Formats: sequence, C-alpha cells, structure tokens
Amino acid sequence: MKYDVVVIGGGSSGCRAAKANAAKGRSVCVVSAGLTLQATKPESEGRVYADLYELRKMGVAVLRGDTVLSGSWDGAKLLEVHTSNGLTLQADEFILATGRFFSKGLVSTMDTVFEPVLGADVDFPSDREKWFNADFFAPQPFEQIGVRTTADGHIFIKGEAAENVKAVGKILGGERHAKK
Amino acid sequence: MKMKKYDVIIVGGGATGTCMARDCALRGLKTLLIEREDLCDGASGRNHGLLHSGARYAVNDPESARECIAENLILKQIASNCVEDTGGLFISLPEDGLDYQALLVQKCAEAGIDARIITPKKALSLAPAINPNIIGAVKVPDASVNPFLLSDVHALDAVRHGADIIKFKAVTSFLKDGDSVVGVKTDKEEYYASQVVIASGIWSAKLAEMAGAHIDMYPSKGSLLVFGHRVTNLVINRCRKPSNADILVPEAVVSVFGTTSDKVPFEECDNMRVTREEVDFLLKEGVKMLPSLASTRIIRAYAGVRPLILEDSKSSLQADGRSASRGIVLLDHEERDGVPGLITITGGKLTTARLMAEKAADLVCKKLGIDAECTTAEIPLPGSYLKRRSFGAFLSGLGAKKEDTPASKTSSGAKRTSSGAKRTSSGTKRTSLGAQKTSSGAKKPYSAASLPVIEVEKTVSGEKKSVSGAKKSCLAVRSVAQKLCSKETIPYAGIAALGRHGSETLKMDFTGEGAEIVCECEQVTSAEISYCVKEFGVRNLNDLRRHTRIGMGTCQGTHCIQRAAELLAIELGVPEKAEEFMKDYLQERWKGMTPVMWGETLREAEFMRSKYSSLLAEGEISAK
Ligand SMILES: Cc1cc2nc3c(=O)[nH]c(=O)nc-3n(C[C@H](O)[C@H](O)[C@H](O)COP(=O)(O)OP(=O)(O)OC[C@H]3O[C@@H](n4cnc5c(N)ncnc54)[C@H](O)[C@@H]3O)c2cc1C
Repeated sequence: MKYDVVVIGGGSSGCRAAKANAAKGRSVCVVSAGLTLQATKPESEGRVYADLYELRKMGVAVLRGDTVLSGSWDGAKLLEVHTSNGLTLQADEFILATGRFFSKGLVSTMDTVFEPVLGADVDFPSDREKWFNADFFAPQPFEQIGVRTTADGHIFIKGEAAENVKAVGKILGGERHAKK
Repeated sequence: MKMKKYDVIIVGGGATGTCMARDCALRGLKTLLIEREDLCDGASGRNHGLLHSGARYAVNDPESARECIAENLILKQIASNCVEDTGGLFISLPEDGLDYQALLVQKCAEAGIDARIITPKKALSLAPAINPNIIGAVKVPDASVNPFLLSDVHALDAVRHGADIIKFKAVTSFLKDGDSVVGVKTDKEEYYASQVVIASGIWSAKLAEMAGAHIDMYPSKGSLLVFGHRVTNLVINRCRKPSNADILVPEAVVSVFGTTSDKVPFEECDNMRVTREEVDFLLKEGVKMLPSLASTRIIRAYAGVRPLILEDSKSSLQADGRSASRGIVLLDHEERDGVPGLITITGGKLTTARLMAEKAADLVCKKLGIDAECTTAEIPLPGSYLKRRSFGAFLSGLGAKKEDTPASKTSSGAKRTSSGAKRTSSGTKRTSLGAQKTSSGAKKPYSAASLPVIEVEKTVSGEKKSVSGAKKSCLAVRSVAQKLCSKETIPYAGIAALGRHGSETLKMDFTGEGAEIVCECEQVTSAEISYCVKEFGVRNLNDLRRHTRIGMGTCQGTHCIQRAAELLAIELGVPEKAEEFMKDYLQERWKGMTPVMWGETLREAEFMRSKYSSLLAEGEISAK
C-alpha cells in the first residue's frame, strides 16, 4: 500500500499531523498501537474519539491495534515501514509521532535511551542520575529527552539527517514539543 | 507540665521496642513506649523481611543460628498472619563449589535447623527462575515476614494489655536524679519510670550519650531492590560465606533482593539515598543467582541502617558474654556506666526481636524486684490463628459473630515479690493505638480480647515435629480463608486483608462501601483502611502504607493515591487535607523510584507525572 504520508503513532500530535496533511489533499495513513487512538491523559480521551471520527470523515486510513516495527531505507530515504499485522506501508513522507517513554516512543535501559522503531538518534544525559529531579513536582529532565532533529524537524539516523521523516509531538522532548 | 509515672519506659518503636512493650505489658508492668515517628520508621521498616531460619549464620555464628531457628518457629506459631512460610533454598553456583554446602548442612544440623540437600533439578522445579547452572541446593525453613505488621500486632497487643504508646514524639532528654535516670522528656511532657529502656536501633548511641552513658555503634547501611512481581515463591540464598547481594525474599506481590553493607556517618541515618553504584552492584550480583532479574521490572530501591555494636572494653556485660557485633546486645548501664535506671537493648535482628525483648524485660523485672515470667512465646498475637484444632473454635465463634465470646486467657499476672502486692495487667482501658477516636461510641463488634482463645503447642525447640507444626498452621490459614469467604463473613475482596491481618479481619466492616478495593496491586479495601485508622492511629498515607501495604505494589500508587487520599482524609475527618496527603505520598513514592528510574519504572514515572498534573491544580507539577 502506498500513501502520500504515513503517520506512525495515533496520539494527539499524530492525529493533528494527519489532519493537516489530509486537509491539503494528501492520502494519509495513521498507525496506532492502541485499539483506540492513544490518550495519555484521562481528559484527552474525549478528544481522541472526536479525532477518530474526524479522520474517518476526511478519508484517512486509521490502522488501530497495529504497530510499526521497522523500516526499510535507501540511504537517507525511508522507503517503507513494516507493521506487526504484516503490512508494508510505502509513502513519500513519514511522520514519527510515537510519543515519549510511556507510549514507548522512546525506550530506556540502565544506561541508554533509544528510539525503537526507526533507530532515530536521541539526545540524553549519559548519567542516568541526571534523568530525574529528586523533587516529584519539579521539572523532570527525562521529559526533555527526545530525538535529535534538523531545524525543520527531520530526524537523524546515525548522525545523518533523514530526507523524508519528520518527528512531531512528545518524542521531540519537552521544550521543543511545547513550543509548537 | 504533666507528670506520669510508669514501671518502665521504652524509647523506640521498632521491632525491639514493640516486642518489649508487649512483653512488659503481659508481665503486668505499667508500660509506656515512646516513638519519635511512626512505628517501624527505623530499621524495622527498612529491612529485607527475611524470617531467618538461622542457616545464614550456622557456620559463622552458631549462637545466632540457634536463636534464629527458635524464634523462627515461635513466630510462625504466634504471628501466623505476619509470616508467610515460604521455605528457602541455598543455591550453589558453579563458581561457589560445594565445600560450603557440606559445612552448612553439618552446622545447621548442630544448631537444630532442618536443612536438607535436594537435587538441582528439584530446586529448579520449586523455583524455575533460579540459575539453571546451579550445582547444588539445600532446603531450609526460611520464611518471609511483614515487618510492619509484626510490630503493629506487638504494639496492638501491648495496648490491649494496658500499655501506653505515644507516637510522633521524640525523647529529647532524660530526667535524672543524681546519676540515676528517672524518666524522659519529650518537647512538652515529662514521664517518670523506675526503668528506662533504650530500644532505639542505631539512634541508641545518641540517646545513651544524652543519658550519660556511652555505646560504640557502627551504622551499616544496607540497600535493597524491589522487583515488580514474585520472581520465586521461596527465599533464595547463595550458598557461600555470608556476603553482600546474596538473598532474594518474596514479599506479598513483590520480591526484594539485597543487600549491601557500608559504613555511613550517623548524620546520614535519618535520610538515606540508594546510589547508582549500589543499584548496579545489586543487579549485577542478582542476575548471577536469578538470570531473569536482568529483565524484571525494578519498581523501587530503599535502604536501612543496621544497628551494629563495636566490641568495647566494657563488653563483659553484654548478653551471654558475647560481643559479636551482630548478636543481641543488652547493656545494664547501672553496672557498666554507673547510670542506674537505664538499660539498652539493641543489635540482633528482626527475627530475634522477641527474644531480645525477653532478655531486656527479664533484666527490668530483676531491677524492679518483680517475679513475672515471660509468656510472649506462647500467647498468640492479635490476628494469629494457629493449629487446626483451634480453627474449629475460631470458626464456630463466627456463628456468634456479634456476641462476646469468652474473654481470652489474660496474661500471666505478675507478682511483685518485694511488695507482695499482686498486680494484674491493667485491663482494657484503651484498646487501640488509634487513640481518642476509637472510644467515641463507634460500633464495636468485639470487645478487646473477645477472639477465641487459641492454644499453642508448647514452645518449639527446633525438632522436626514442630517444623511440621508450623507448616500445618500455614495450611490451616488457607483453609480458614476459604471457609471464611465461603461463609460470606468476609467478602472475596477481603481475602488480602485476611492474609495480612488474620482473624483481626473479622473486625472490619465490609458492608456497603467497605468491600470496595482502593489499591488494586495490594488489594486494600476501604474496610481495611477504616480498621487501620481506628486501631493504629494514622496521620497520613505514608503511615497507612505501613499497616496495609497500600501503594507498595507494582504501580507504586499511580492508580490509587488520589482515591486513597480522599478516603483517608474523610476517614480522619479532615477532607481538606486530601490533596496534601496525595502530594506527600507522591513525593515519598518518587524517592524510592528515582534510583531505578529507567525502563518500565521511567514509563510509570512519566505516567504518574502526567496523571497527577491533570488532577492537581495547574502549575503544581511544573514542566519546565
Ligand atoms: C538493610 C537491612 C536488612 C535487614 N534484613 C533483615 C532480615 O531480613 N531479617 C532480620 O531478621 N533482620 C534484618 N535486619 C535487621 C533488623 O532490621 C534490625 O535489627 C531491627 O529492625 C532493629 O530493630 P530495632 O527496633 O532495634 O531498631 P529500629 O527499627 O531502628 O527502631 C528504633 C526506633 O527508635 C526510634 N527513635 C530514635 N530516636 C528516638 C528518640 N529520640 N525518641 C523516640 N524514638 C526514637 C526510631 O524512630 C526507630 O523507630 C536488616 C537490617 C537492615 C538495615
């Protein structure tokens, strides 16, 4: 299957990106790991159903309960992604909107943080003691961790900017995400 | 200033102090216990929760080993609801060889510990998570103990036998008459007593100093990791010379692996943090014994301080003439430092707290000239139900639920030999630690000591016969649980409470909202919360946690804190405090999560922040 745009992750940022692209007349597919679209906050749940309804009306393909596992590249260009339901999705442009740790957009181990779907480069403090603040209520450094991007939001893979993959939403890390 | 006079004042409400309060109260002494925080705020609430069989000490310290096995068997009988009789294994990794195993089995036999070699295959079938390459295994009667509950029930029983317990008040100085200690002072009050007993763990050194005596203590920090589920159902020890990072204990729905041991300055004892190096070390060692720990979620890390005593020149007066730094240390400051009226009991272990109390109470009685026997090893603690024979009585008591069953055997009345006046334990003027609230005419299905009398087999000695006795009591707990639930006396939602509080669960009111589950991980109901607030005196969620395990499971309270905070605030009659309870508890859980904040725990952390930032007012949780 070939689309103009494939959005990886059906959270609020993913949905927003899908809508914006569909509004420009592009063919769009959203892959969302959850059976419903993802809502991290309880109060976002209503909005998520509204999003789903709207996306359907706009003709966006929403693959619920499916997960993007990996991608195939031609140099710095992402050609297609492969999903857990066995689909291969091709697109001219891909949008990575898988969120931060809770939604598994980023995965951390004792000493590293990585982006599990495409292997995008992530900026994070190497000492894990610097990932958190001892005060629960204070800003938390881990909420600033995100994938490295070019000025216009393209991700990097092993130091090289990807031609056709942008990141949006929480996976960008706190401040950059909040600025949008 | 008010003035009160007691026979004995105990300073410190950990395992040792609460056991001591119960012992003294059962002997009929007018007893006061003062604790600066909540019960179990010290080492007794920050340990490994292993009810030692003694096997760990059998090779190096046979005396401790014998004490442990005796106390292990006693506690399985008198505190059946605080102990989970898991059994334990000593596993030998290829690099450990089998020499130590042979020695262990021999020394266990000498100490009366039932230690049996089993095949690695058998061990793996009992605990599939252990390293499949083990070359040997020994089965021992280790068990898992809930240290919070153990102190709770001792305190409860002390109060039910007339003791007074004051929590959240520190002893700030000693009242003296010449060289003699005649009482203690808190911020506003003075309390007088014929004997003052310091049972303040690592803080005993400071208190002794305040009273004009001196103890050389050594604060030894131990850190532990809590894994998100029961990795095994048995205690797993490494079969080698006791060392660091070599024990896993299953506890309720989690497993605890530890420990480290490092000398720390006294100033650190009041606020300990688990370091990155400690976490890395524990995990590295843990994986050798149980490979799956590498991928098991770690939900928390915590640390406690062992109250170790340095051998000193005055050690001739230590209990049994021993000066082993991990052994029981009983100091008679009258003889040792020329400070009459003062005794210190420390060292030892959670497992041997009852015995420590017995020794200290013997000395108190000797000083007071009172001839009263220790009965703490025979009389079951609140909530403990024992042998099958007793369950009949226990269950038939259920039929007459709202009626008073015959009052239980009272403690052995103490005879005051010097004065000749016979003193009995001072009834039930106040029967809970929950202070004032209780007496306020609330419905009370039971009188204080109305639970059926449960007879205990005469004290156990380490023979095989009594081991199986303990096993039987465990089986019977299960069958009682089933019967209670099928009789609909306690709804299914109350089964976890039954596991924790035993027969005390009958005092919980599961009608209406009582059966609602508040904390899913640990299955804590609204009824259990009401009971604990009433019986134990709870100021906030962190106190409530110690009595119920609320928020101690996998989600670390993410899902239940707001519900629990509201319920507790209403229960305490201070609904406006719900938010404060919630915030304090979030911060407390956070402290234990941060040392292991990666992987699933980091996910939980992000979710916790996100959830509570939408529940709390804007800006309470700041993003940047
Ligand atoms: C990491 C670790 C693991 C352990 N694991 C085990 C185990 O698995 N099995 C086992 O049997 N034992 C274990 N132990 C040992 C056991 O926990 C301790 O020996 C035992 O809890 C000591 O109890 P305690 O009552 O003497 O001292 P504590 O529990 O420390 O109690 C002392 C109390 O005194 C109070 N206090 C201090 N100053 C004042 C004051 N001025 N006024 C009033 N109150 C005061 C404190 O708040 C505290 O509550 C472990 C210990 C540690 C540190």
